[in-house]
Amino acid sequence: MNTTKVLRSAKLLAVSLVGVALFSSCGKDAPRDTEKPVIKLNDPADGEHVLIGDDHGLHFECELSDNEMVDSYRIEIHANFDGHTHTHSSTLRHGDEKPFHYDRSWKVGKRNAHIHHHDIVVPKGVAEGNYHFVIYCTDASQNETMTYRSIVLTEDPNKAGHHH
Amino acid sequence: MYYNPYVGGVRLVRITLLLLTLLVCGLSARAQVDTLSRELGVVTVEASRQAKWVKHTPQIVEWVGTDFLHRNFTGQLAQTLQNLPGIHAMNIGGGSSKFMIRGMAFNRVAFVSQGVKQENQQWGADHGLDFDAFDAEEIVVLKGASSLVYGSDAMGGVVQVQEARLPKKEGWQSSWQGALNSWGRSVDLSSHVMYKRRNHFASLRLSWQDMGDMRVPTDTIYYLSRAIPLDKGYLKNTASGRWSGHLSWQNSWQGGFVRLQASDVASREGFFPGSHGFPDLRRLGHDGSHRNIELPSSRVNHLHLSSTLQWQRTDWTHTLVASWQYNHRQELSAFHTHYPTQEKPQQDPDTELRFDLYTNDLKGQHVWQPSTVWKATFAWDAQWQANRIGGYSFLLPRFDRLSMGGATMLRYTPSNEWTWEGGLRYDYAHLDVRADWDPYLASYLKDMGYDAQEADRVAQRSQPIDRHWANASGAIGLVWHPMQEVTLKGHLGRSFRVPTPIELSANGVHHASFRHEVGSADLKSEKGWTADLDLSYSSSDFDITLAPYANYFSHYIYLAPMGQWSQLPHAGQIYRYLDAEAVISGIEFKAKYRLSARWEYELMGDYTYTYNLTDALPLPASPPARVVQSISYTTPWGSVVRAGNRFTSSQKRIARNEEVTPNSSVWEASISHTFIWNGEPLEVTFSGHNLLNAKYYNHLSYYRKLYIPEAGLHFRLHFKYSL
Repeated sequence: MNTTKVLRSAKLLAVSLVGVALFSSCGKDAPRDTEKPVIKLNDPADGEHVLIGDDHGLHFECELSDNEMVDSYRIEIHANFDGHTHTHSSTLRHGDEKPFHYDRSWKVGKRNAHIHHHDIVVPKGVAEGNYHFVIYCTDASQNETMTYRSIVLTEDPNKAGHHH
Repeated sequence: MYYNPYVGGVRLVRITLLLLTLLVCGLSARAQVDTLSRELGVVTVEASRQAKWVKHTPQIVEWVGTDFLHRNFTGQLAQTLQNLPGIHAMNIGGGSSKFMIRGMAFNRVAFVSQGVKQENQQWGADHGLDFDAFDAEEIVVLKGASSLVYGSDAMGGVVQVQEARLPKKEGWQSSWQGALNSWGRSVDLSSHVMYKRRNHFASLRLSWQDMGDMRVPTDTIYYLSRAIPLDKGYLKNTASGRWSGHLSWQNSWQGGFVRLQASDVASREGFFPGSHGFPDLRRLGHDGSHRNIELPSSRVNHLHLSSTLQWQRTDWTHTLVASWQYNHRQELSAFHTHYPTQEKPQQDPDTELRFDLYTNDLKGQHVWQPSTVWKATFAWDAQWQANRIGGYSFLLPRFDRLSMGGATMLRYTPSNEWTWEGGLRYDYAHLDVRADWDPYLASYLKDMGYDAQEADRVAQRSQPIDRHWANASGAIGLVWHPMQEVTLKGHLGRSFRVPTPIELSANGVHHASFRHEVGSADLKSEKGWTADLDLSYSSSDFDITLAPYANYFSHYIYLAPMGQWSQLPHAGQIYRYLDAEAVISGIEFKAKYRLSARWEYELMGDYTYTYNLTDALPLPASPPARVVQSISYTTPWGSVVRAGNRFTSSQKRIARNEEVTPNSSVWEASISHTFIWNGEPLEVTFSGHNLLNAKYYNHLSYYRKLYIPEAGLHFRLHFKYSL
């Protein structure tokens, strides 16, 4: 009597384990890509001074790569003034100058891309100070990478870095 | 033929209430303090009674008593329970943590205290459990779908804090507990004062916790592809502090009792500035103190009042619970780190988010038990919930929700070999979400150059939603004892979960996930089928349990990256809550081998497999497999010395935008002893953790994305003195 019961229990166990295994393997298509794209940001460099009102535009150069395909990248520039010591917005402005903000995205559509352009123009009249230059990148499977640099917008052409 | 007083198809709260009723009727004698006497491996009435109950209930459960809770005390319940099979802790360093049971967390795991589900913004990975860890003397974890008893939000399981046992003695009694932890240099203290006189019992617990900045075994972390230095391994601004109190009064009579309770937990927790927005190295420098809490931080107050009434008449036992919860949560972050150019708000300028959640629960249970063979339970519950918001940012809108459910359960125990149990439940929920327009965002977008109409459109953070859901759920289960040593439990159930307001109508950057989350207003309820088994063999020197389980969800809600860029500051691509078909299955293993009267070896292992069939990817936050083992030795004078290892395998099965986590092996050792001081017991446990100071990551940690490791070598001291 006992042996039958033990055998029955063992069978139940075996069936359940098979069940778990089956569940684990059903519906398996090729797994979707989870490898993030890689951003190699060459310019601007950390701490770089960028000239306000420069007609040449900001020198931007990077390499984007992915195991499948780089879909899009986006560049955002926003103020990084020392927020916690300023309590009133007017102290963030020098006269009427507003902080600069930039947000634009581009489509890529390649596995490896070397991006180099001067499309980002910092217009005259924006506030000088510390900013973050952020680059985001997504691939065809919506994997995302981002990195950033601290830059300084300045009206002084002598401080600004070289452009070509 | 044994008489099992715990037979019933009922869930554990009911069993506990039944136990208390029996206690009040004087049918059993209980030890005041649940201590395990180690002389010759003798276990007290308490632990053996619970072991018997676990063996005979059709539910798949873990029972945890004070011995385990004291030995593993961390100040955070989820971290204390994480070495149990199937239970993982999703932590924010050492400050806060929440439960994951069998791969499911947040609103899929219910935390029950004072007989009702705790409602405290549990949808957030950066929100902890607003509960005093000292307040739990006994915990029961229901693993697997428990929708039959708790309705929505119990798909993964339930962690139930059992009501405190009444002391045997009359008059005044007290217990004094404390814990010191070198990780965070934290101090936890609690005092519990009780008074019992004939039919009256009153108790008050007051606890206090203070923790400094956490320290990790690395001096560099990585975030946004940048290396961020840590001053001597300290995570700046991760200190926290908490006060809590719990007052309870009870009056019992033949066959019934009334209990009134009030508890309040108030906490403040700092967040590492590197995890909110862009880590500016100037903000990460040491601010001179390791115990201060500056911005960003959160402040939470959870107030819970409840009354429970139980009475018996003939074969019926009736229980009514009425409860009110108020959760007030503020997330504080300097306004100018979000909107540098705007004027600060006049009131509460640094309150980024404020949520006021009011929840009223009313529930009843009516049990008819004419004999030991049949037991019928009729249960109903209703919940009214209102969420009000404030702050300069937006994540979750203002909403009102009404949920109601009714269930019938039947338990049939024809012999001491078999117990069958089944039940059906029907739930209805209605949700009303208000629209919300964000003036700060509108102003910010206009400043950026958006045209006024477009800016106003994007700043319309939530649309009005008026929806209702109806769900049927149920389960059948059995317990079979083919031999005295063998227990086989099986379950088949259908469970559901109503979408949370965040899944339906979120629209904002959620710091917990570092993402711009957008809800989908038309989400259906999550629905799943669960099958689980629990096979165990128990003898005088050997216990072994194997528990496989499988869940199939026809609808499962998850956050998916959309590939579209967000228009909000500091946000990457947009993530939306979507519906998918999913599978979560796994297996748990537990063994205990009593090598001799003094030596004992324990082994635990669990493995979880998750798969999103719609996306051909694992589900997010898939817990890695683990093997935990320990060996203990009871010295001739009654101390217990333990050593153990937790091996966590690597987790390569990730969803998009998660990190692969390498494997880890962590060692610990402890010594426990109960001294007698002035004739009363003083339990002390001293333990060392991560003895090899390994640098390892918890795949489920909030700080995982920042490559912040878990605690290095640290020591804990816990004591409890009972008078």
